Amino acid sequence: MSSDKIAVYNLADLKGTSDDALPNYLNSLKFAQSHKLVDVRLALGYTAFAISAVCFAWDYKLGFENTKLYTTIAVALYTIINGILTLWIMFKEKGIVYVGTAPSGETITISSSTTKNVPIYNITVTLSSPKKGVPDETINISRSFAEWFDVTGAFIATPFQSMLASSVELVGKSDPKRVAGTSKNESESNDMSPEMIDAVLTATGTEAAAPSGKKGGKRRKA
Amino acid sequence: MPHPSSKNATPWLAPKPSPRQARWHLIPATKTPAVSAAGATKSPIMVAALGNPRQLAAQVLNFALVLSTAFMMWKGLGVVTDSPSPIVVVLSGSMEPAFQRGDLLFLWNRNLLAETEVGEVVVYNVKDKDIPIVHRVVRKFGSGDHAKLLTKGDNNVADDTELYARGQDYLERKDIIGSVVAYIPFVGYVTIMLSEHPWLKTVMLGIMGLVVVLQRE
Repeated sequence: MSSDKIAVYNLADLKGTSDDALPNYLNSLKFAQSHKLVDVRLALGYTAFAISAVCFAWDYKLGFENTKLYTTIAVALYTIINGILTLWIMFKEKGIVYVGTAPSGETITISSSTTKNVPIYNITVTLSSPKKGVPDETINISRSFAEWFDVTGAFIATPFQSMLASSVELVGKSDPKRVAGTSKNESESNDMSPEMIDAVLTATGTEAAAPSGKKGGKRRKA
Repeated sequence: MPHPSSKNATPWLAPKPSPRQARWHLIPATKTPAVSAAGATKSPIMVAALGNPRQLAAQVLNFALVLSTAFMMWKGLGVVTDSPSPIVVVLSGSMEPAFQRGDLLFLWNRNLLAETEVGEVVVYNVKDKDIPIVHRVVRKFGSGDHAKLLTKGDNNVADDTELYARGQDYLERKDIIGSVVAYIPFVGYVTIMLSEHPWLKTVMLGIMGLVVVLQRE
C-alpha cells in the first residue's frame, strides 16, 4: 500500500498508509515482528463468524422451532465472543500497529493515533528491555503527515524512516544513515536531486514486504 | 504504470517511438538489467494478490462480522420474543386504516401474562403457505393452547376462513407467530421495493461489500 497514491485530505488514508509503512521499514531492519495481537483478534472474529454461520445453516435447514435451544446458545456465545473481541480491541490493541523485537533483543511496541481533522500523526513507541529491572521507555512523536506525503499523495519513505530513526535510538542504531544530521537527507527533502529520487525508490524497493512492483501493476484503488 | 523498458521490449510491434519514449527508455535501461525488468512485470501482481494475508483476513473479517452480527441480532430478537420472524412488513392493505402497506411491525410471541385475546392483531402462518398474514382476532372459542381463533382483516368484507388451508376453519395458538406490539409506519417499504424488484438486492449487496472492503475507517 505504501506506493499507492492516496487522497491527502483523507485522514484515514494518511494514517493507514503510514501504519503500513511501519512494519515494512522495521522488518527491513531485521526487526522480528510479532503478530500475536492481530492473530488473537482474527481467531476471535472468525470463531464468532463460524458460530453464526453454523447457526444460519441449521436455522435454514431445520427451521426456527426445532433449533430454538441451539440458536439461543449460539446467540449467547456469539455475544460473549464479540464482547471479548471488542474489549480486546479497546484495551489490548489500543491502536498498536507494530510489535517486534529488535536484533538487540529489545521489544518495540508502536501505537498510532490521529485526532479528527488534524493532519498530525501521533505515535507512541514503547521499548522494553529483555533484562529485568530495566524500566520501559516511552517515546511520543507527533509529526505532520506533510513531512512524508507529497502534494499528489505519494508516500515518500525516506523522511518517514528518518523521522523514526532520529526519534528512536533503537531504530537509529539499526539504520544509522537515516538519522537526521548524519546525512544530507534533511536539507534536500524539498528539492530532490536524482540521487535522492534513486535513494527513495531503492528504499521503498528493498523493504521486506513493500510491494515495490505495485508500480508496475494495473491495480487501481477506488 | 508499466515499466518503460518492458513497453519497448517489442519494438517491432510499436509504431515509430516518439522522442519521449526514447528518452524514457534510456534512463531505466542504465539502471535495470533487461532480465529483472521482465521479472518485475510478473512478481508485483503476485505480491499484490498475496499482499499482507493478515490485513486481507482482517478486512474480510470486518465484512463477515457486519453480516453475522446483523444475523445474530435478528436471531437474538427471535429468541427473546419467541418468534421466528419478530419483525414483519405489512404487504397488503387488508388492515387499513390501522396498518398500511410498508408499515414495520414488531411482534411478541409469549403469553407471559395473558392469553391471546379477541381484538389483538396477530401475525399467523397458514400451513404450506410461506407468506405470514397480519389480521385481527375476532372470535375465540375455548381457552388454552387449543382455543379456536378466527381472524379477519379490518378492511376485508369477510373473515379469513377463505385464506386458511383447505379443510381448516380456525387457527390455533401454534399457528400464530406473534402479536403486534409496536410499529413504525412506512419504513418497511424498502423491503417491498426489494422483493418486487429483485435486482435491487444484488445492487445493494454489491455496494455494501465494496464499501466495507475499500474503506479502512
